[in-house]
Parts: sequence; structure tokens; C-alpha cells
Amino acid sequence: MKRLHYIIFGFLFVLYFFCYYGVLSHVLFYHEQHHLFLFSCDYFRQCVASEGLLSYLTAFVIQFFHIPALGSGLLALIIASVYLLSHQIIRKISGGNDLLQLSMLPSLGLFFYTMSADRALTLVTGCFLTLMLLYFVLLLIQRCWKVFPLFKINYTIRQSVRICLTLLILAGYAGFGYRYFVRHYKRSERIMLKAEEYVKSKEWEKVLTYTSHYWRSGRTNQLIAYFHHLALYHTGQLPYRLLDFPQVMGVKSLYFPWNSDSRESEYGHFLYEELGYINEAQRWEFEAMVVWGETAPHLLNLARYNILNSRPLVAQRFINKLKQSLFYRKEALELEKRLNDKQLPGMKNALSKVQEEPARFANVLNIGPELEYLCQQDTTHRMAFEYLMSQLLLSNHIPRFVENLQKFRHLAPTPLPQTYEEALYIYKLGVSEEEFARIGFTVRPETERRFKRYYELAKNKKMQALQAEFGKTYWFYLNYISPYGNKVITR
Amino acid sequence: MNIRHLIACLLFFYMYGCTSYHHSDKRLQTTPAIYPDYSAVTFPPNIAPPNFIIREEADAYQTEIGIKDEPGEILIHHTEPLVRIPEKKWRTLMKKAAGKEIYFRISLDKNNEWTEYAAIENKISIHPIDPYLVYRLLYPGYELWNEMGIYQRNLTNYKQTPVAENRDFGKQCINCHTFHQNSPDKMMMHVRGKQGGTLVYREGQVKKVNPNLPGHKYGATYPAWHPSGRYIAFSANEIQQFFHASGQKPIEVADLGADLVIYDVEKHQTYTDSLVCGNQYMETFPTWSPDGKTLYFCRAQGYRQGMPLDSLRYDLCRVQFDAENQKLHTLECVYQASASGHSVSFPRISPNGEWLMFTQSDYGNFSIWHPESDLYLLNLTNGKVRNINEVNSENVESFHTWSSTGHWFVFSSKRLDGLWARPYFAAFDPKTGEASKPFLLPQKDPRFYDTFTYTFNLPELIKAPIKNGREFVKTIVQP
Repeated sequence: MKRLHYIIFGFLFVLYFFCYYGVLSHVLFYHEQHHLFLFSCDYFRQCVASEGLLSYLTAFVIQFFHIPALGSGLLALIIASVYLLSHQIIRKISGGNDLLQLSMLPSLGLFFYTMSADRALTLVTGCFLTLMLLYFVLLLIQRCWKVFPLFKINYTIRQSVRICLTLLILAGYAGFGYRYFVRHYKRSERIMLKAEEYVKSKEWEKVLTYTSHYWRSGRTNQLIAYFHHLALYHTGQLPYRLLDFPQVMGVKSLYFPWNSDSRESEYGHFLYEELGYINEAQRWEFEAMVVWGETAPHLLNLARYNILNSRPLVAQRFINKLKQSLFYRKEALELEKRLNDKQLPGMKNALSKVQEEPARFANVLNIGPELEYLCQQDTTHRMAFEYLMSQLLLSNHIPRFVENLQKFRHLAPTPLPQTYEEALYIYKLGVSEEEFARIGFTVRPETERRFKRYYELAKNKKMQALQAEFGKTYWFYLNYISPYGNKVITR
Repeated sequence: MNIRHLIACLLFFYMYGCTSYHHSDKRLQTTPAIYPDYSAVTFPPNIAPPNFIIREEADAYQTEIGIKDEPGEILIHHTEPLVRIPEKKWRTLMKKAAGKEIYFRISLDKNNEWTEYAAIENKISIHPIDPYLVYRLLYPGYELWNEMGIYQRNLTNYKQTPVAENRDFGKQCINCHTFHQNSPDKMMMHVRGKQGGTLVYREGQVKKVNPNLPGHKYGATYPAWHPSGRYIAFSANEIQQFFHASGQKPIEVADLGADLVIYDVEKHQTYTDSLVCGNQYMETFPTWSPDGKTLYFCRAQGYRQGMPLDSLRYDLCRVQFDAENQKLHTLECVYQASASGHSVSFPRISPNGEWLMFTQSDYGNFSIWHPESDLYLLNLTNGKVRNINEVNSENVESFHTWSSTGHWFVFSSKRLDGLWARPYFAAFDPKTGEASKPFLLPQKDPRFYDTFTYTFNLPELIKAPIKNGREFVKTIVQP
């Protein structure tokens, strides 16, 4: 019993460590991506003046989350130490052991508190530092005045009963803790953050694993859909699996229209970066930095975009900041070597040679014209083409879909993906044979036969069979899912 | 030798090492590269020490500072290339150097050989500069904002104090701080957000007012105090942002509509005139002549749907103001920049009324995003316009204001990197209209600008510090 608190401390540390390293790893990732600790006097002054010393210390701790094992260990140690400190303080004041194991409550409370990514960790560092300070103050008081224990608890019950009681209480905490954890664990948050993590590291198959899992659960979320389509493109599946899941958000599942929304500002740049539309990527990333602060992902991206856009002096400022950090210094130095290169591995500026007269401005509300523009400027731009086709299909713009399919036919996969052919067939139904022949595409008899079957089921209102058999077809999307109505838009 | 002797010896050698003069083995005719560029500039006698970095590789550095043709008065040794000039010694030197030239004589130790470079020479003006600079600090972003504030910097030292920071009032946007004749006793600023309004400080009181013209489409935006202190001329603008799809220019900010209105701060009434209000033209950036009889402004053709933004060009116009009857009359174009394919913004008249400084760019009026924008000077006596080449750079020169005496002006320039605006100061001769080479606002740490990612917005010189910052915040948050 004398060593029990050390055993509990060790147990809590191991438990917390595995949670943070495993099922809560996304929480650490989130915090690390939203904080950047810099070793500079200016940063200290600015951070303390604007957010306070505790935020500064918290940011210091969070920087170690960059290495998940180290970060998990550190956070686990801090929260487990809260137990140990609470125990020592109770023992010092009461002079006896904490029979009800009340000292576990602050530690468990803090652990549950950190289960959600949007909770500030200042509370954790604040509790830890306060308890540590209190403990040392008590030690000092005891050394000077010997006032402790304030009251002495003498247990009259037998030791075996005490052990049983302690074990029972611990089992109670374990049961309650497990139940609380399971009930309050945010699976959606984990899926979103893990998907984001893998989008950032460009591990597209892993992105698909998480996003498909989310879609399969029957839920819809714009961010998940956005990541899902990025991953589909990068795995060569976008034209084939566009309608695998019900596209109830229409074109908004492909991109974020600019809504001046601070939350969304963090995500818009992914698509534009992949498209090589660097000015727009830069704009989104700068807006995100303004809202979320100078964190490593924003500074790194801004440095990259400005290198690609031949603005080395601007890139240098962001690099200078990163050079003051512990874990991003190396990456910053690598970027610094490439300041004047105007290109970076794995990235491109699709409009680097474009000079518009008169000036051309981006359409920030509708990506369609921008995709078309990219296809015109770079005739090999497969991603812009596939996104343009998807955007036109999801917005019911079939005539424009056919027009652009014809215009950029060299970028179209052969044979045409089923979804494209289904849209073509709808177009065919609305025009004369000569007109359809002019576009130079054909629809296979198999597709026509399938449409007849679809039409039969639809006419007889056999919705279950229709959905089971044709739920992933463009026809079904157009008639039953599209948020823009069930009519082809010809404007 | 006991421990006290040892310490004394060490201290002696330390002090000796710090101040001893190293004679050079070699002399060069070239000046060393320093950053910020404090060479051949004119400093006001009351400026804080212009600390700098020597951009040359060496094992040790020696900088000697003194009055031209006189022995050095300040000697700085360092193993790093940072030159931090002691404030007290600098002030003493400045007292003697007013009206003279000073030198920075730099020697470098490379492999135990000291090399002396040609001295960097700067002038010290006899005219002090207004001791405070007020600016807004914010990210040079686009639409979203987070933390920002209006700050004042004591130019005689490095102390910066907040006037109003938006973290104290729900992170609303604060902007357009404007002073009456460089005085903090009469000033105004706008707040945008749920507690928004225009704050006017006069007669020792801050009041939240609404200077918008009743029934008018646009809100009061860019202000200019009338010399009498009774009126504020505002442009009422409909401003939109547009984002360049390609190229290095990221954004275009344009008016889709703009008119001028005049707000009476005593009667709290706003009025306008068809001369400066209507759809045919867009009028913006008002500024008063020092006698208060003329209102200068920029004017372009009214925006029509589908008009290319790079076809919007502003001319410099003026209209007469009859303060007694509160009437505007007799409008004329003073400088037709559009005729030569240019556009005018930010007209500002010198305190003696003889010079009008403005920014000229290729099109539009938001010149801070135009790398080609430069400062120009109009001689109001003979109507001649010239590019102030001596202060312009390859990058943006934009917003500018005069000091209360007219012997100095401050302007925003993006010459360091093309994105962040920093305040530069230049001496001005009100008789000849000549300006000196400008210098960057000195900082305690000369590396400051390398990592500072906020932009200095609307630098304004004032004669005394603002002491009522808390009152502004209180007035904003009060229901």
C-alpha cells in the first residue's frame, strides 16, 4: 500500500501514453499544427503580452508533439504527474493515505478534458504548474513552521479491508473512466483530423480509408468529401468513383467557395496547391495564417508559394520565422537553399508564364471558370480537367460538360468513364442525332440498355430496386440527389 | 595575487578590450554594406540611434561614430556584425551634430588584419521631427482579420505603446486614425464590427458618432480634418477586393462607387454637394489646403458593370469650400494623370501650402498593392509635377504624411521585400521642394524587420503622445 501511488502513477502514465499515441494521436497532431514555439525574445514578448505566460509555456510543451512518441510521453507524464502531486499534497495536509483515491480525479478530469482537439492545453499546464507550486510552498511551510499535517486521519479498519476498499474504488474509477471515454470519444473528429494529416503527407490511400469509412456511416461532411475527392484524383479514381456516395452537397463537395469563414480558411489551399493555382493557394493560406496565427504549416506553405511565385524576399521572411523553431529549422534551411529556384519538388505553378492584359481576377465563389481557365492555359492539366468535368456534372450543366469534354478530349480517359457516358447519353436524348454525332463521342449499347432498365424502374416507382441497382449512376444523381433540382441546366 | 586583484585585472582588461581603438592595417575606398541602409541619409537630431548590421564577413568589427572632420565620439566593438549605438552617447552626439555631417567609420578584423572602409556619411538636420509616429499594425492580409491595433512609437527612443488594440474590444477592425494638424488633441478613428462607429476625440472627450450621410449608399471611409477642426471631409466608398489569378501582384482593391461628404463635428450633421456626389464620377481621398478654402481629392469615371479594373484611373481635382455657408463650389481638375495612363491617390498638402505630395500608380487607387506606385510632388505655385526620385524605389511607395513643420515626411514603402509596408522618413526643404534620401524607422534590434510579419499601416507623425487610448476602448465597448 505504501507504494500504491507510484504504481497508480506508472499505470496512469502508460495508459495515457498509449491513448495519446493511439486513439488520441489526432489531438496531439491538431495542437502541434496550431501552435509554433519560437526561440526568440520577440516571440516571448509578443506571446506573453498577447496571450500570457501560461500560453507561452504551453506552446513550449506542444512543440514536442511534432514527434508523436515524445509528445505522447510528455503529455502523459504531465497529466499523470497531476495525480502524483495531488496525492502528495493530500498526504502532506492530511497526514494519511488518500483512501478514496480522490487525487485521481484531477488527473482523470484533465485526461478527459484533452479528448477533444479544440480544448486549450493551457488548463493542463496551468494545473500542473499550480500543483507543483503548491507542493513546493507546502514543503517550504513545513520546513519553516512544521504545521502539517493539519489533521491526522487514523483509519480504524483493518488493512485487508482497506486494500479491498481501495481496489474497489480503483475498479470504480476504471469502469467509470472506460464508460466516459467510450461515450465521449469523438470518432468524427478523429476521422477528419487523420484524413487531414494524411492529406498533408499526401498519403492518398490512407485518406481514402478514413473518408470512405466516414461516408459509409451514412453521414455527410464537406471537409470529408473535399478530402475524399482529392484522394480519388490522386489515386486515379475520380471519374470512376465520383458517385460512389450520395453527393448531396453538389459541387460543394469538390471545393470550398470563399465564404469569409475562418474555419474553412484552413482548407481551401489544398486543392489550389494541387492544381498549381498558386495565387489562390497563397491567398487562402495567408487568410488562414491571419486567423490561426503563425503556425508551421502556414509559414511553410507561404514560403513555398512565394518561392514558386518568384517572390524570394517574401518567402525569406517566413523562413526566418521557422528558423527560430526547434523542429522546423531544418526544413526552413532546405527551403532557404531553394529561394531563387522558382520551383520546388512535387509542386508546380501552372500559371507561372501567364501574363494577363487586362488583368484577370479569380472567381472566388465558383471554381468552374477557374478550372476551365487552367485547362486553357495548360493543355496537359489532367487534374483541372477531371475537376472541371466533376464540377459540371455535379452542377447539372450537361451541355457545358459535353462542350468541355469535346474541347479537352485529349485529357479524357479512354474508354470514357461510366459516369461521363451516362451524362453523354442524357445529352444525346436532348439533341438530334446529327448534333450528337458532331461531338465525336459514342455511347455504348450497354449504357443505352441500362438506361432503359433505369427508366422502367423509375417509371414504376420501384425506388428500392432503383437505388440498389442505379444508386451510383449519374442518372440517379440527376433525378434524385442533385441539390440543384432534377433538371439539366442549359444556361 | 589575491582574488580581488584578479577580478580587478580581469575587469580592466575587459574594459580595455571594449573601448580600445584598433588601428587599421589597410584602408579601402569603398563603403561597407550595412542594413538598414543608413548611408547618405539625413537624420533629424532627435531620432533614436539608427542601429544597423554590417553585411560583411569578419572575425571582429569596430564602428567609430563622430562628427565629420572631428575625432570619433562613439566606439563600438563587437564580434558580431550588429551595431547597437548607446542611446546616451548618441543623444550627446546629436546635440553637437545638428546641421553637420556625421560618419560611421567601420573597420573589420579578418585573420588578425584590420581593414578600414571608407566612412559612411549622413547629415543631421537642424529641424527635429515630430517625436511620435502613429500606425496600425496588422497582417497584410485580404479579407479576414484577427489581432490588430493602433500603436504609437516614440521616435526619440524605441518605445512603442498601444493606443488601442482590438483584443480589448472583441477583435473588431480598427482603422483610419487621423489627426488634426499632427495633434493628438483632435483625432478620429473608425471601428468596424458589432460595436462599430466613428470615434472622434475633441475637447478632451471621445464620442462615437455616425458621420454617414442619411440615405447614402456607402459609409464614411477616408477622412481629412478641416484646418479649423470643425469639419471632417470623408469619402464614402463601396470597396471591393479582387484577386489576381496569376503574377506577383496578389490583390486589387477597387472602389465600385465613391462620393465625398463633409461632417460637421459640432452639429453632428453630414452634407454633400452634387459636384462631388453622384454616379458619373468616383471621388475619394479628400485633403484640405492649409487655409481650409480648398478641398483636394482624387476622381475617376464612375464604375460600370464589366469595366476592366485596370482602366480605372484617378485625376487630382479640387473644389472650393465656403466654410461660412458650408457650400462647395467651383470644381476643377488640377492634374489629369489619366491622360498619361496614370492614376493618383493620397494627395497631401505641405503645411506651408506650396507642395502637394501624392502617390501615382498605373491604375486604381489602392496603390499599396501596386509595385509601380511612386511618390510625386506637385508645385502648387506653378503647377509642375515631378517624380520624387530621391525617395522612390523599384517597389511600392504609397501612403505618406507631412510632419507639423513640413521639414519631414513619412511614407510607407515595401522596398525591403515587396509585401510588408515599413515607415521611411525623408527630410524636405519647403523652399526648394527637394527631399533627402529616406531612412527606415530605426529599431533597437536591427534584425527586427527580418522576422516582423505585420505591416505598418497609415504612418502619421504627431507632435505629442496620445494619452487617451483607454478612453477610445471604453467608448467602443460602451453600449
